[in-house]
Amino acid sequence: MKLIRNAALTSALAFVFCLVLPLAMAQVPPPSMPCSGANLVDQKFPVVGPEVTHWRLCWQTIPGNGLLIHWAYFRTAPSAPWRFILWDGRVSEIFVPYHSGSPRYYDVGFGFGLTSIGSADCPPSLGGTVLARSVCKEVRDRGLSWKSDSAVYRGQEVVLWSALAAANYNYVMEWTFRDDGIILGRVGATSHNLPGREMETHVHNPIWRLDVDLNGFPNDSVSLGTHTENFPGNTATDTEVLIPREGGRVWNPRSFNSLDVSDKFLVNGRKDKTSYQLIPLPTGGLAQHQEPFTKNDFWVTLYNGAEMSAKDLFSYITPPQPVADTDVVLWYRGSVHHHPRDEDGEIINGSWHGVALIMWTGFMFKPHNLFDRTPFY
Amino acid sequence: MKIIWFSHISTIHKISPLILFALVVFTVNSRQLIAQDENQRESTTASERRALDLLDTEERAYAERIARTDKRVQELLGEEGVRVVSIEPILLKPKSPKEINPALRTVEVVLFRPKGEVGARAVVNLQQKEVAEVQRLTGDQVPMTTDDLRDAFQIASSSPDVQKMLGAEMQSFQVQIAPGEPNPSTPENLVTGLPLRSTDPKDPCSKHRCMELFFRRGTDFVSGPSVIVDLTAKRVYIERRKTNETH
Repeated sequence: MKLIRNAALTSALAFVFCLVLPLAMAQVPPPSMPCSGANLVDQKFPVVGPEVTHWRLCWQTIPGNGLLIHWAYFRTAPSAPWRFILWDGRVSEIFVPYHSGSPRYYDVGFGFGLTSIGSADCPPSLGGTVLARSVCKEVRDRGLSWKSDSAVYRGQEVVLWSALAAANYNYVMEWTFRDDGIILGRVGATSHNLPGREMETHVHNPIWRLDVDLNGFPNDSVSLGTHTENFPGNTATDTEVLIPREGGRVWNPRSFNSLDVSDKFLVNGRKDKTSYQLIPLPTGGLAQHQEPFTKNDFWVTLYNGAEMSAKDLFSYITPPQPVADTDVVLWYRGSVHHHPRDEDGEIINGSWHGVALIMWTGFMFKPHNLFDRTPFY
Repeated sequence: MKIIWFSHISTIHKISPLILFALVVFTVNSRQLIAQDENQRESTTASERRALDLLDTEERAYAERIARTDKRVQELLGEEGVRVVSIEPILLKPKSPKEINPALRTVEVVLFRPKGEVGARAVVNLQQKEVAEVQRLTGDQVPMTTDDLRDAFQIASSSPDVQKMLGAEMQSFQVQIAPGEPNPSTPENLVTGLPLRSTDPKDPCSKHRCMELFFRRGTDFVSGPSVIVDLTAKRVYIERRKTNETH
């Protein structure tokens, strides 16, 4: 009799489940987007099989800034709400000073266009799709996501990139959206060293402007994440100190500094405060130069639609306005220290021939307590 | 034991229509939801143009006309000798999230008048056929364009050093037109340029709009002195390069 009761109960539960589940799914329709066609990227993960996570975003190309990202939404499960992450992400400037003090170029100060991209740049056999002749979309394996003895999970990602044709240089602007909710931004400098100064060391400083709207806008705040070793002794502490007003911060690699953005109302299913952390991914280091906007690696400003130029950052924060529980914009400056080498080219009959091999710098924008549990486990 | 087993089967038979019904409901609901989801996606791609979709030729011309004829823009720039720097769709962030309209066609038009080096950023609402806002731009806030490159090459062409560097081929050099612009050029001999700014207050390029020119033959660049053009003063500076750093 007990078995019969169990069977009846199971059936009843199955009945309710079958009725309710589709209704629950109906509560999370895809958000309406400001783009369509090829400019809309809608990517679920894993690529094959039932969805676990999902990105939905727009891209745009404009002269000078190159490849822009708009309205990046992410959801942690098919039944989870779509979370707004990014209103606008772009490379605001690429500042290139040479070691002898001059020249000092502003490579986004010219409305350069993008190079054309073909199947050699973006092979379909490797998951590439050429969009609008100048953007490559790659959906690909990203290597190990986790491993535990014999158990393993390989992650996936969708990558958008294009190349700005900036005189002798090409700048590859790359945006990666991973299955675990992480966004990566990178710039790679390549093509030709400066004609006539092929062997002079210089630094390419891309400065990203990230209009982060976690859970929409406003109500966002930014904290500086800092790790401290409590010398003398063996203990260490982590702090998150609120940044109350507009300003800049220097990144200290020993402190694992990050800019942590949170929304006043956003928590995950465990009621833990959700944040996204801006973490530098430098290649070798970060430079500082004479120009005021290069004195800091991080900047936080109050949103202003007319403030788009990194070289004017110092004026944007003068006087500094409050940025707690508001609409914030993050800025991050990476550096590529390019010390030319023979591998960059050769001199034939007194003229320089060759290419500057690509060098990268970038950042990671990483969710913290966005998921309720380990994704893809 | 057999009796109990048969009684189970008979109970399950009684319940099975309920399970079957539930499965049918689930399947129908799921299919409807998938169809609804796909319809929504399709409607996003096939319905009216969205805020950030590429401008067509008519929209570009229309936005430019509205911006150029706006009184505030004309007060800033006048009507003569005004160049177009860029015309791009933008999505302005409203004061409240409730006011967001992802289908609102808004265009940012940046104009520049070389005489006096002043620019304007006009935000044009295509639906309402009006300029929503105007912002004055200083010369250094306005990105350089192919027009500036053309001016710079013209100024540089008068320099004996440049003439010597390019030799008899000078006339064959053409300014590089970006791939996205109309009539992109791919001649063998190209002129490109990079904006630069000096930190030395004695250097005119600490305040003026300056550009360094590069001359490209095929895949290689012409070696020679630096050719820096001061677009503000309409002068060309030739800088002998220092010996390359050791490496």
